[in-house]
Amino acid sequence: MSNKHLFLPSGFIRTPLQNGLGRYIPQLQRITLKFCKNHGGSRGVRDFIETDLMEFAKTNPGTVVYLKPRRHRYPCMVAEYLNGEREYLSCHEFSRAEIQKWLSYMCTRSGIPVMRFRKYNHTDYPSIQGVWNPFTHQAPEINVAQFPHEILSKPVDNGPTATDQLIEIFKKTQIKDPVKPEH
Amino acid sequence: MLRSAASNNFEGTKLNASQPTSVKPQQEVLENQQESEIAITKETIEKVNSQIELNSHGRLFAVIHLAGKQRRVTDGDLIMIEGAHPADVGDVIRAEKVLLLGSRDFTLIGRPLLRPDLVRVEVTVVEKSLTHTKTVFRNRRRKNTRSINFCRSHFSIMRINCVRLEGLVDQRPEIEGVDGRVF
Amino acid sequence: MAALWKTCHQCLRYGLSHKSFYPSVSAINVISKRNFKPRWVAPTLREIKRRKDVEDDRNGGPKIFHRSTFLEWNYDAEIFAFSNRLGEKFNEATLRTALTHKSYVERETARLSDIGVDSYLQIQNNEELAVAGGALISKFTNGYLRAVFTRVPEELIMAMHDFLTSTSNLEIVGKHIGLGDLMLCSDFPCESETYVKSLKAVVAALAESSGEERARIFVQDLVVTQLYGLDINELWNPADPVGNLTDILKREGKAEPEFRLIKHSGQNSVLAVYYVGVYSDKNFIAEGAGESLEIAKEMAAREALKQLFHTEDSMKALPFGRQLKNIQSKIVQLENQPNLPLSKWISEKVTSAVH
Repeated sequence: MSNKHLFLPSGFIRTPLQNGLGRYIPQLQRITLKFCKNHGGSRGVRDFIETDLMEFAKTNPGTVVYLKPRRHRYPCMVAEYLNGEREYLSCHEFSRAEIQKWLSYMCTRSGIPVMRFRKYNHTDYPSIQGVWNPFTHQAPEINVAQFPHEILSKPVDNGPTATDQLIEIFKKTQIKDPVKPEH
Repeated sequence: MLRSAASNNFEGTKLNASQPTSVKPQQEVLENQQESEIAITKETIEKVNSQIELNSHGRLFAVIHLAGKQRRVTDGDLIMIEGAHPADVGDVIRAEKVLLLGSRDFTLIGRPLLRPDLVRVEVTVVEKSLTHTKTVFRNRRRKNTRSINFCRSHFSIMRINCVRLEGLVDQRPEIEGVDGRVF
Repeated sequence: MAALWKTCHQCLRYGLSHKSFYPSVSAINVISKRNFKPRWVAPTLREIKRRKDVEDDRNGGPKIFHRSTFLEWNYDAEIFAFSNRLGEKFNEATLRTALTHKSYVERETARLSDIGVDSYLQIQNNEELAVAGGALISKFTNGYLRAVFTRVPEELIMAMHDFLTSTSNLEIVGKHIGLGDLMLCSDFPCESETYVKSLKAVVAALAESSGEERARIFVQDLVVTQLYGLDINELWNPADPVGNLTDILKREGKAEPEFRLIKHSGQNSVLAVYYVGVYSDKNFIAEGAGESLEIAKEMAAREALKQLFHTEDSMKALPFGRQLKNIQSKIVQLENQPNLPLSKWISEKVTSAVH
């Protein structure tokens, strides 16, 4: 059993530079694929580079893709975002499809480090119709009234209490003695 | 002191007693509107319409139904959608299920939805990513059965671009629901 | 010797090679395998970390390297990606000029003369572009603010303009569009002035490459959006709100503002609250609350000014992005046409905002 997530940094959802308010700017600025040219663990990365890399670069012209062959090292990818963050992912023994999926994950992220979200919405304008305070909808007569007041000092809900009702019910159920004939 | 809601109940029974016997108790009988009531309705709608025409209603908020949840949104809000969502990053979506629209002075309530020709809520997908690693731990006590799984689920963050009123409250177009659609 | 060599080799295996200035990243996506390390590993790593910390302390922090010193760096590709990321078409030569600072040219010239090459470097710097860009940003921001806040006096417009074109705000924008790695300058880590200058030059380069229209939209989308979520009334503080309100009402031919206590509570406690309303000609204008009568009166006058200027809490949401399509022509008109100053403000002379 792992409680690692309890110690994760937590926070609120946000976007860098009010992204999406004016225009949407993809946040991934460059990605580096590091792999070995002949080791088996890098096979998926090599397959990806041979078949899909050109298409990936064409569909994401805002991202610079670097390839870095390293002899006999595990393959990995390092994504660098506009907010200055870097994310590293080991791609050891990943298949071509897995590489594709993780790349699309890196592309669509905003670069803000993974965290536990405390709320699933964020608003800068929490109240539009006004925040309630004790004076909201208060009758203006209260300002000039003298206390103790005949009406205002009474409790608002002055219906019969539960005790009163019980007494009422009890009284109703009382069997009255038959009237004795007078002699 | 013990205070029960009995007083309200008494009123309730009284109301029911005055209703015709053929109507079931949970049904509500709508009386014909009095002329004064109709006048009040007209005046209210006119006031709302004049605000819409002059564009003098302030900030608007809406309750939208998006990805299975109801969310209160206003311009510039960020909302998080749990689970996979078909829209890609940078896509602009129109939230069509608007349940309620509010401003400083009036609130429009849908029955259950507001007309799509009346309100427009636009949303941009800003980020698609995975949550932090959640631990799914199942244990049956004294049965020697336990499993541990790790899971990262999809989520999307969306930016509300605008909540806008596009028509008058009581004026309906001849053909409804075709606004902005391509056939 | 062989043992030492082995230790060094092992250290390299455990990731003690040269690191960049970026913070070390942990592989969060990977569930690490259970592996058993020899008993010498942990103490060795601890000792090496201790020595590294001592060295860092002596040098005043860890050594940092510019991204361009990395092996994987292609400036041409970065320039190409920069314009595509922003969705703008730049003239490549102009963009390169916009990113080249005077300090860089000077440093390169000095370096060449040190080697003995006395050729004059044919690199243009961004001084002129930065001046032009600064003027453009200022003009576009003013146009937007005047078109959106039609009822606001010029003083508040200028306060918002000063905030948006301040060094701190433009630095944030410059950093977040990725200028940090692309700028050619001699200072590293870059100073905020360098970011601001580059951003201004980039705006001027955009206006030169694709026209002023695109540059205006660029400024609206990236610079003006920083106004979102801000209470604009915090940016400008009228010194005498009661006096200002009285002047405005006098100019409009209305009676002097009359302040009346609407409600109050807890007068004899530390949590006293007074609600004061402003009336003119027996018409209610606004109300404000405060812990004493004077403060409540001032707050009520402030609220009344907000009502007149349409900057109250429930004011209309600011339009950004696509919503500005219909008012672009109006923004262009108002770029050099200031709003009414506070000393001449009358509600009849200002039009209500339509956007």
